Amino acid sequence: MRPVREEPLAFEVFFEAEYGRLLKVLYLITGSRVEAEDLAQEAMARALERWGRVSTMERPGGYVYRTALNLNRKRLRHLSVAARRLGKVLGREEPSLEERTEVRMALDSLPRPMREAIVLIEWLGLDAAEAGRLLGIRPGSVRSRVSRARSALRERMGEGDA
Amino acid sequence: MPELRELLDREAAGARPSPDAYPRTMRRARRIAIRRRIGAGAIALAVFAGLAGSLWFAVRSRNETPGPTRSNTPSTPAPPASWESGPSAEDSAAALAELPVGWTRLAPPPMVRARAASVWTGSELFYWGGDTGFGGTHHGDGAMYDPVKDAWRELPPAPLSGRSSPAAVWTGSEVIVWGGYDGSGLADGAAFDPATGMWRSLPPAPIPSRVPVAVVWTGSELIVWGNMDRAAETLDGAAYDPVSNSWRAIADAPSAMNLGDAAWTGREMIVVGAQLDGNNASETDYAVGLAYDPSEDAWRVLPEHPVSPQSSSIAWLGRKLFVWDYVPRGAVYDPPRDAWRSLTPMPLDPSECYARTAVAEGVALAWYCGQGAEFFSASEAWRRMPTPPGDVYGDPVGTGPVVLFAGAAHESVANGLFAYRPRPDP
Repeated sequence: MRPVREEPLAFEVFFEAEYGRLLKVLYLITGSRVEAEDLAQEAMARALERWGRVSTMERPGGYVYRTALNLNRKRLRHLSVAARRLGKVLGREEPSLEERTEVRMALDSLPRPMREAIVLIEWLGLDAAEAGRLLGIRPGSVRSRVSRARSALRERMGEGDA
Repeated sequence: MPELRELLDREAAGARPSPDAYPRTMRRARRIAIRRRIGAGAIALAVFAGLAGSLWFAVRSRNETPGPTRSNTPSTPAPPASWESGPSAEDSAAALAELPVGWTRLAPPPMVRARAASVWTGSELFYWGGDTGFGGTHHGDGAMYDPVKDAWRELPPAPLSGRSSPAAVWTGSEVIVWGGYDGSGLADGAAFDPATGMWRSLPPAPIPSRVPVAVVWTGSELIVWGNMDRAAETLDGAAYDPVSNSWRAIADAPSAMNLGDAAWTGREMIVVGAQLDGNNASETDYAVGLAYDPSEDAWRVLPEHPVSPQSSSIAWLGRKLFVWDYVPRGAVYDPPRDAWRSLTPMPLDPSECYARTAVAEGVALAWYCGQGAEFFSASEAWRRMPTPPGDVYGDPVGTGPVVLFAGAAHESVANGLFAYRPRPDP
């Protein structure tokens, strides 16, 4: 297989450029700073362990985002919804209900697939094709999820403004 | 409602990296590497070998002169000054059958390599090529492992340039090595005769250079098909007949794959895999199954079944095809019925690992970043493999009584040879 890059990308440079944004995406999706940091570091560590290959990809960031999103999905399969809301998983602390912003509560009200799509499109600025590659779904499905998410958020936050 | 982006910005502002994020990430990476080596035995996921257990391809021979030119006339290097034939198949089988059930550490290869060709000849392990320095240097030498002596001997020089992930098969009398990667795909090959210690170059293949996706020995032909280059969408392949020393192009497949695994059923070459892009995303929701019948020079498409396109591995178990993916989950495919059946859950911890398979004593070993599971065909029961005793790298190779793992991942990681003997069907 031909590497895409001529020179390997230094992991430190990649980490500095990507980690902060990855962390914010994961925070918007998970609602937990601790979980977001855990996922971001695990995804970066896995990329580093395979850096010989990842560094030559056209979009090493795509690999890390996909890894992080897949890790989150697997993690959620092992967690009960009640335990997550109470912040009792692995002893992590979640923001109290009083501390959660209106945006946070609106995001949390979305199903995870819609939350992932709206964050990748609206905040990370990906197009439907790029987001679809990260999520493993067709661009049409991305657009559909984003449309439904926007409607749900508008309805939820519009109620608060009433 | 204010601009959604603005709202998300304000919310995201609360997530700031911890000051020690980078050192913590480095420590995690080391733990992952250690888990692979000690707890789970890693496989170099540079998989672009991508094919579980079948990344070894036959390679055509090539002139020793550097550069892109190649001769159409097979070259026959002079026989080595001193070359002793190895043990008999019976002696090797007896030596391996004396190994205890479970793991055994054997004499390590004399060269530290990742992505070397690793082929069982019926009496010895042929180990050739590979790379070091994270794929920076590609090598064109190798050695053979004698299980009777638990020792290696260096191979005579090959008429091939250095490469990693070449296709390699045992024909019953020769190891054929073809294609591979040295910074770009290669299209030449050679055959090695362990009885004489001599190499011979293969004639040019009717297909362009590549690391093939599928490589099988049918009993009379080597078939190489597909291309693991993520930029390629290759439908073509070729078959080499060592008796006539000639190639033929095979019919184009109905769809392309750049990641997959292949097995020979005795009648068809079955390939399971997918066409992935640079972000590892698949064009299809599931892996695609294709079957090629060399007697008809025709392909058919298997019915769809939930197998991950990102990594899957297959092995023929005599009457059924064993298939598993990195989720991990397993299934069997019955060619006469053209039907799939899902298996009970696999005793593996999910991980972002490529799947590899080898068969020993009729037991399929599903190898997964140093974790392993034994699949017993008759009962279709699973059993988790015990933790290996050390750093296990290299693709698993079935020898009959045991599965051998030879190699290293990256340059400075431990290099070794391990044998695993399956436990009896529970």
